[in-house]
Amino acid sequence: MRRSEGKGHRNPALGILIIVASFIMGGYFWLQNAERLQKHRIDYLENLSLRLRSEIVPLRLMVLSRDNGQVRARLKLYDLSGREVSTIEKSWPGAELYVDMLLLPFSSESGDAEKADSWLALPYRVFTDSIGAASGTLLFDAYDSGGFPEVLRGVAWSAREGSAIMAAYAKARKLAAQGLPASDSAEGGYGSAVHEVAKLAGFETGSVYKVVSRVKGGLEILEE
Amino acid sequence: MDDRLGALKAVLYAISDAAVFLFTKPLGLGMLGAALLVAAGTRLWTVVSGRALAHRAAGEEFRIASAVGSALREMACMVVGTAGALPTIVGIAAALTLIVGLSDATRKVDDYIAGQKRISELTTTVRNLEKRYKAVEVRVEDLREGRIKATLIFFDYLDLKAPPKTQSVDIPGKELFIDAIVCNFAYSEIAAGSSINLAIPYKVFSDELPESQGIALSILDESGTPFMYRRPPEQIYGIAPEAYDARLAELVASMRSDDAARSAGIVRSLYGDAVHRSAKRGESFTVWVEQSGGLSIKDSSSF
Repeated sequence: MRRSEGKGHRNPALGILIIVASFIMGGYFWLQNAERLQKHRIDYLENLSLRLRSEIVPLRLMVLSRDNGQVRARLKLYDLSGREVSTIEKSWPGAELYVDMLLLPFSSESGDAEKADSWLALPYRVFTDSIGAASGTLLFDAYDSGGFPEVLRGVAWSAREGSAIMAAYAKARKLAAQGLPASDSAEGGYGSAVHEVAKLAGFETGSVYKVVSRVKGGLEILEE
Repeated sequence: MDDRLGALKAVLYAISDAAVFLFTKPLGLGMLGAALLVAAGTRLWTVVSGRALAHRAAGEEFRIASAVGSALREMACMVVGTAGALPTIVGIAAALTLIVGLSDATRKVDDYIAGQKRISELTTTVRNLEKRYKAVEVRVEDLREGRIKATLIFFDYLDLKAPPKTQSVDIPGKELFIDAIVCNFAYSEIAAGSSINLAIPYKVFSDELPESQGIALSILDESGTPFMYRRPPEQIYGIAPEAYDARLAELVASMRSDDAARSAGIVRSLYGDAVHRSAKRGESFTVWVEQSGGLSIKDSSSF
């Protein structure tokens, strides 16, 4: 009888130890999991922060001379890997040089197909403060490579992405050749003509400037 | 309190690191083994030399067999002694395991707290870089006979109830260009919320009308501040109102002297940007100042 009573009676210290150990183990695993999630979040935020600061340089320019109301400049176009694609050297009447870029919204294969997640920046034309953009020098032909814009080579596009780029490029070239705004080649597209401001931030003769394309569609000019 | 906790943690980490080194790393195990061997060797040498001395005092010859026997006896004693001290050794091992575990858990908690702080900083950075604000809204009222009639709306953030400032333009062409001076500050300034990129639209022209013949925009108030930069303090996100005013003053100064701002290391780029889009009757679009750099155009209806 006593034995059976003894069998039913358990040591409370053991129970408490098991509960405490369970809590400790649970806490440890929670912490492990929280740390893993935290690491993913930090990686995501760091990548996003880097992506927002990342830059693509599709074009560099150098003003060679300014004589008799003319600006002579050399422009070099680059693909996405930084390889030089084309060089243009020309004089334009005027005092301030405008480098016009076409920005087209683009949905990458990995992103949401319905929503543009990046921008394609295509060198469009060059004009000045004295000549209207419609009378500027078109740049589309300078980087044509069998219907694909050479400035967008240097990354591994998928077949669908490549086709979308070729279609947008062909449409933009056609519109520009007809004297129509190339920004109409894609819904949401627009142009951005970055330029010097003579009295404030003019291009110095002999200095190299780069046009930088940012991930959210903005363009900048930076001196190198 | 923090200092005491820090000192306690330092001691805990030191004991834990030493224990982990000695009992888990090959070099530590080697050092521990070598120390034990030296101790055992010294002990055996002491015993054997003591026995040899005793034999010599008794006038007996101390043979090799006696030496080996003495050494084996002592080794057996050491094994028995170690077995006797097993509960103590187990207790020390348990205590060291507990210390290592506690130290590891404390480090994990510290790392987690540091990670949360890093997430908070990065979130602020990303939020500041992802920001954009309206510079000007364009409504194309009419497009006929090769002329664009549009209304430009400038936002006065200081007085949102006041009717927005507008300017009507009528120019020849198919594309409307909104020309602005853009000032992008260093990323460190933007990410920390110390500065915001600025743009001051100053002219409208078209694909057919050159910039030199464009229409100047009247976007400045009576004190010379562009409307879109007049803001009540609560609307200046991530930057103290005083700092905002100071940065605005810097921009005005930088517009007078580009070198002043650049030498101060706060301006990343200063240039003109004429964003443009084809004019379509009844459509409207907005020019945005991106904090990641530059200007962009978005359909007004998209927002």
